Amino acid sequence: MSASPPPLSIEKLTKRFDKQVLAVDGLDLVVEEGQVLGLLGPNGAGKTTSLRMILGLIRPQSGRTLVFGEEILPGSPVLQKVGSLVDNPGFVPHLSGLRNLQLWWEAGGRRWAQADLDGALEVADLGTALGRKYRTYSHGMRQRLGLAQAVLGRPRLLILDEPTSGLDPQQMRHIREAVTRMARSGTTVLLSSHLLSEVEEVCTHAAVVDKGRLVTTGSVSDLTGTTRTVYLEVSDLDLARHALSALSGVTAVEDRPPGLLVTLGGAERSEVVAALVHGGVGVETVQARHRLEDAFLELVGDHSP
Amino acid sequence: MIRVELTKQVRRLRTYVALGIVALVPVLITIAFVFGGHPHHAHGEADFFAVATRSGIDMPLAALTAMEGFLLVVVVALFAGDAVAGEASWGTLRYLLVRPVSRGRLLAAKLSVAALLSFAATLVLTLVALIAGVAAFGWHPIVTPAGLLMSQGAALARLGLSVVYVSWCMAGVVAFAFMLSTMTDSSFGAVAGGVALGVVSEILDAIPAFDSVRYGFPTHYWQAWNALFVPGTSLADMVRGVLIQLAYAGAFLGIAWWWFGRKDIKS
Repeated sequence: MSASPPPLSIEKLTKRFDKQVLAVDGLDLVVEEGQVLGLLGPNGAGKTTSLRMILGLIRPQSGRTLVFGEEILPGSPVLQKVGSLVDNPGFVPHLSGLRNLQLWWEAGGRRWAQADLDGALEVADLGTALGRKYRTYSHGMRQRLGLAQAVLGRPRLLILDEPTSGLDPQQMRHIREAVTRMARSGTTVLLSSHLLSEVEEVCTHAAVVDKGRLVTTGSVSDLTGTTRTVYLEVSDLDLARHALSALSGVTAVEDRPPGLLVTLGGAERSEVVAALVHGGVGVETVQARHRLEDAFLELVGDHSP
Repeated sequence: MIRVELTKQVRRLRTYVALGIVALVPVLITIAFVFGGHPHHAHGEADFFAVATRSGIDMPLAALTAMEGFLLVVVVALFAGDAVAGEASWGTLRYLLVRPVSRGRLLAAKLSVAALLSFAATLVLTLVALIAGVAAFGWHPIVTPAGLLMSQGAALARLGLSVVYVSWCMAGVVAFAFMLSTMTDSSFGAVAGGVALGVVSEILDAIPAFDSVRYGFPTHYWQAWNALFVPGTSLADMVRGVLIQLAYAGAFLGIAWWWFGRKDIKS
């Protein structure tokens, strides 16, 4: 008995623009069922071009994309199982948000009753504004409507390109929670984001691309290492070292002036803080380290001038 | 798919403005004739303007003559040139193309709606002119430019054929603007290209130096429907006009399908 094909399998995908710019160079990637895979890479790494090829919008020079085992070509029937938000959302400005969703859904040849509108509206959280013309929407409302469109019909594969771009923290939180809910309900997600904290929070797996090639892929915990660290600034460094050395679950304490970098081997951050306070140490700063950022910079280098 | 595309267009203010202008012009022409007295023969030749006040049924024929050369071209170029490029400028094109619908089917739906609206423009122009003409000049047998009388029934039947022919004469412009629409994200560029095809063709058609090739210009046979109102005249030019448009439409639409089928959607 053969295993069911993965939701997304990319094989040697290559795209060259104007015969000179090699945007994607033999990209191989597999996204397994139930994964939330973050696609990471510096600007110009080929992330958006890759997503567009996956959706059949851009023709690759070579290679292919299989979605649930079926090759993606423009208009492939298997696209029915895919929801997407690529770049900015796009809607007809003189129609309401709701009418836009309905027309987009029906353009795919399916009945509106099959769209699971309630699930999409929960994501959009637009209330009565859904009846307003799209041109009156704020940036955040447009982004949320775009996500609602992507999840119409409960797609089995969701492809999102910078879904929280330009949103305020509250709206970012709303969209991340919505993506997490979708993933928990069985949707496989491919999420491109330049926000490493977002990938660390939402994704189970990550793939790093640079110069159009896959640099590495794996679970987020594999990429960041299995250990967790916390940075502390305290009132008395010596007293803090002493208190932490007595705490089981702390495997290492390193100086990181003006504070300490504590490697956790089982202890929670709250236990560390409690131990310090109990030891008479004032705690001024507690900061979880973004290890994915460290891993990312190590893999693709620091491109800043 | 066609219903979805039609819904987008009929709920758009632009559609009503375009059709409104098409409806307004024959009313203005009628008012001008009512208050401006009887028209004279332009350039010494009799045409439908010269007999426009003889019967209300002459008015739509005069309006078709007046508007076929430019205003109708602008309106049909607008409907066709905006069809695909308009979606690109809204950012909706890529979302239509991630649906399980072939690009060819999408183009077919958009072209159908553009063609339907273009035909509607010709129909609105004719009906409004007919109503305004009958209200102003009565329901009489028409007088043709050649001075012959024709019964209302016969005139209406020929008017109907003229509407179909004039609508078909726009096929080349519609196809050209539509083709440009698949190639650019700028609606304005595609619309302007469609209008330019009509205008340039008419200008070149009027230059004697092009006598040997003018029969192949897309606008050359646009007025061939006048033969319908001259009993006994051959309709061969109308047939040529139909075939010329067929050739242009086939060529432009062939390129549009080929181009759009291979196009990378980056907008």
